[in-house]
Amino acid sequence: MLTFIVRRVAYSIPVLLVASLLVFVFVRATNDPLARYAQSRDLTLRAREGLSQGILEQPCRTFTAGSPPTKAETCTKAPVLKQYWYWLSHFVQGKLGQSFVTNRAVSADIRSSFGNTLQLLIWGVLLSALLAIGIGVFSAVRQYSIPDYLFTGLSFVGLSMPPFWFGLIAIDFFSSRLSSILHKNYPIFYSIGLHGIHKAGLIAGIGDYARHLALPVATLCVQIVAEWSRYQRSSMLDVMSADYIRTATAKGLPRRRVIFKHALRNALIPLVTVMALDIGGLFGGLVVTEAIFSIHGMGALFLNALNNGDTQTILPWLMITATFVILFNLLADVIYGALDPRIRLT
Amino acid sequence: MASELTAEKPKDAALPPLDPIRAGEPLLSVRDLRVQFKTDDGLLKAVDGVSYDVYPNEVVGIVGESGSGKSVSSLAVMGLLPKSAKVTGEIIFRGHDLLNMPESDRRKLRGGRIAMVFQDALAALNPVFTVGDQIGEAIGAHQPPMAKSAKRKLAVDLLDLVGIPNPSARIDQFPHEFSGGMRQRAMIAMSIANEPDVLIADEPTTALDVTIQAQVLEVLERIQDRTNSAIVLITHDLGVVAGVADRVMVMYAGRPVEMSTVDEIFYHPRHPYTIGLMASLPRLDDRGSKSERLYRIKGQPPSLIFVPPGCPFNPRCEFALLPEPCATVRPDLELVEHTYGRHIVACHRRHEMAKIHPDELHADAGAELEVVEDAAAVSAVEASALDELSAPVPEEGT
Amino acid sequence: MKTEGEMNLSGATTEDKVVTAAPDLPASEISLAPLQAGANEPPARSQWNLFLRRFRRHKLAVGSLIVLVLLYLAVSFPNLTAPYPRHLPLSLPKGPNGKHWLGTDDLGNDQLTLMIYAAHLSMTIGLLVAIISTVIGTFVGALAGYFGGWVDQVLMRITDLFLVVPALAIIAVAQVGLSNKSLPVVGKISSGTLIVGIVAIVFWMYIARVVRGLFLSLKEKEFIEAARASGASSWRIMFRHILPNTIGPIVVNTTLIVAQAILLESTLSFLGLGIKPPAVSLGSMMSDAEQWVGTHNAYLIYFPGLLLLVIVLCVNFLGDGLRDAFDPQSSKH
Repeated sequence: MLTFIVRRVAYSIPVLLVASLLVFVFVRATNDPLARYAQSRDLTLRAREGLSQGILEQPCRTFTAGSPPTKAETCTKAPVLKQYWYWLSHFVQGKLGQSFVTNRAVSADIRSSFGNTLQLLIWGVLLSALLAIGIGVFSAVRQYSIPDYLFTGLSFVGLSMPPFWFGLIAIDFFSSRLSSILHKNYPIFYSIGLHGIHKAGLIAGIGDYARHLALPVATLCVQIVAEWSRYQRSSMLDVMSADYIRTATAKGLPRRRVIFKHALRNALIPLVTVMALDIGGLFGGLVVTEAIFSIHGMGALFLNALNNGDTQTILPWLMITATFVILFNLLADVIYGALDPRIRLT
Repeated sequence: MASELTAEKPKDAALPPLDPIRAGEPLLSVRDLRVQFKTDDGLLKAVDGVSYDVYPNEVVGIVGESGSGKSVSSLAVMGLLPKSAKVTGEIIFRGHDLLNMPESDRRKLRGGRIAMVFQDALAALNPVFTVGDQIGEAIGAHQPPMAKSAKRKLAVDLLDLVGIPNPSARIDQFPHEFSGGMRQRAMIAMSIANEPDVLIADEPTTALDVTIQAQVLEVLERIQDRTNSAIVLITHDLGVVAGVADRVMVMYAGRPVEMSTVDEIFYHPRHPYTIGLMASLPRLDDRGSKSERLYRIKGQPPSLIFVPPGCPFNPRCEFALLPEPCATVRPDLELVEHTYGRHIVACHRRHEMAKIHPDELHADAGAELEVVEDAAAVSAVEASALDELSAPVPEEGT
Repeated sequence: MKTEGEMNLSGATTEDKVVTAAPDLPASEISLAPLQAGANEPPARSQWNLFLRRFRRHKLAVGSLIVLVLLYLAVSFPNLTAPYPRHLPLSLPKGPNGKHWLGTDDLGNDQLTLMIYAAHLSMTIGLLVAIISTVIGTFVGALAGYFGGWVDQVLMRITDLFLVVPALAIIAVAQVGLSNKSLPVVGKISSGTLIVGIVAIVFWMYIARVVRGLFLSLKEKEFIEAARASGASSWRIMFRHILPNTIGPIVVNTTLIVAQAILLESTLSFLGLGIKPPAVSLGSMMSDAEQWVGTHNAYLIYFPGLLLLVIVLCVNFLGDGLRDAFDPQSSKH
């Protein structure tokens, strides 16, 4: 097991390196980090910024020109591979530079956003998995029943709905209308942030947390629950027709035990793979969710950086996301190995 | 070890009171069993009127090609068919009709009093649980709660009984870590965990090498000696039946075509299908050496949706009288003269067929058979054949 | 189709009286005793007819296709179908009423009219993305699957990248970086064209992966060996022999891409990274209306979203029906 994890981590390093090169070239090709200096009269700023990011390199030339005369500085542009190397060597040392948007260290920005995102992600994945497994098993066991058709229909709707629309409707209804229906002057579910501004006791605190989290987590999950539950249903149906399920029934085991011990355990195995593949997509979902619910997480950080041309933040964001996805895949493999004794993790 | 296994008959807490087991009275009586499935193309009659009895301590062989209904009929006995199957008829087990029993009671019989061994043990054992876990579960499902260690000891003993070496280590392994023969033995161990009265073995040796086949059959026989279970052995291989079974039922297209003791079937087969099966068996003696090649029954088994009219075997039968009566009138099971025990056959030409020896099929014997004009002479014997469809095995045959 | 009905009838009646089974059974469909074979065989059904038959049985998919075609026709001619001109005099938003069925937006424009223009753009983007990515993806996937080699390696590595980096992020970066810029070769392009290009660049890889897998498995099949042995060129084998056998999965995946692309475009436009004024898409309409959530003007959110939901739902139903029709095995559940 340990050797497996070490090996997998070692394998993922070249994957990440290739990804970082492609991402770097791609971001540089599409976004010019020095574009915001285009209108600037003081070319020294541009040169300083370019040099600090490794985009420009010495020798630089200082001259005074124009009327009124401005002090200007021009430098040569570094080849893109050299830029990459400059960026990478700083990145691995944790030197992520400074965001000109927030005027803070990029690493500090990411650190503070990651916590919020992690809360959304963990609750989201947990809730999605539980719901999807529950719905999938139920639908498979009661195949072609009315609830089965209902869930299948709902999953189609969930897959066909833009998640942001779900979020907006959820805010409109649960955060605004529900309160007026119940004649309350405060929202039942909050639509901004993850915490209330007032300190509360433990119980009230948990309640407040849940009321903040409910709508964003639901928005993040709606598509994923729809997809996973369909997957779980069909995987469960496959398993239910397996020979070993017949054997378990033939032993005289109660149906519940056949379903929840023999069938479910096997039906979870393929779901784990799909869940791992979808984690990357969840990060995309975070961008939307955090934008709608004004949560200061990774998604909001990305959107903010993107809209301001802050490549200093975008590059590490993409790399950290990729690392996180790879870690999640590793975790999925470990779970996979734990679920299926035929897989030996070496 | 063995004494512990047999010392206390396992008892289910809330089993319906079963009739006592008496020698000479059937443990299991199947009467006019029919299993039908609705398909897009029409009604599929997987089993179409099967009746047989299983007596204590005997081995009944059910022989037929795939699609002959032999497996479906035993799944019906186990109650393992999908909901889409329409099952009618009677399945009487120790005084209770299984088909009219509440599912909860049936579940207690299933695996407890009537157990089943499946064909492909790799597919039939759950890949994610250890062999010991799966055997222990079978014990736990029917016996009063016991300590984990006691259950484990029972499971080890069972593995030992079926001849798995080093059972106390093997018990913690997963099915994929077992070899094919071992898996089948483990499967058998699981099915006899509660010393069932009837053990249904569905092609238990098909997926195995010939040498392993013999070993597994030997295990089945040993089990029977020890536990006194009756065994229903389902196979497509007459050779398997020859070694183990007391009585044989040959099935074709969802219905029985011939039934008697194993000796009677082997020495005096009457149905052209049985004769064909016999002729296609490879032999070690020189009797079949007239032709180098083995006999093959021509054609394919019929569709169970569009069963040929008349005798279902007629399109493939070398002896069929076409079109009358073989392609128009469906033959019933009738009693015929016998040497080694009651013998019933469903064939219009059952009396003439007595003259056909399987070996002659290698030569083109079909056309030479004479047509007997009047079969009235034997009709008295046939009169009550169906009522006494399957009598106890006469001792003289074995 | 008429023969179908007759066949089913004869099947049902013969079932009731087995003994007198009629000789005109559909012999080719089920394995019958040799006696009855060949008596009255139905005309050999081509793959295409089988496909049509199975598709027609899928009522939801047929209905969805009809809805989609009618809807696309309706939104394609806004001059005929839109109740008002695109731009109306500035006024405050008004809820649904007799004059404006779906109300007016915050600039006083008729929402139904806007939705017609927006739906046209959204559906067109979805269609174009699907067509472009299918053409490119099929070509590259065929090459990679048939020849392997460096095409295959590059394809696999790039598609691997999209498993670890969120596609939405990549598209967003490209969208922001390239919009309002003069691009090489094509020059300055509209936000709609840009989004088609960028989204197609991501989605073609998806099709390519599917086609690659199909080609990998098909090129080992006997009939391809036979074609090769008879001296057919690689080109001919790829596009005459293998490609026709991959049509089913390709069409199904193309349909699913239409749905995905429409959703992705609406999401980008909602985030302000996609369609820019003066163009209007369903996503950008909702982006403009986000401020009204929780007010009595929330209908500005509901209607465009509902229309989008209906469109994507129909596309997904269609895809589901196509999958069932092409591969009945896949739909046993």
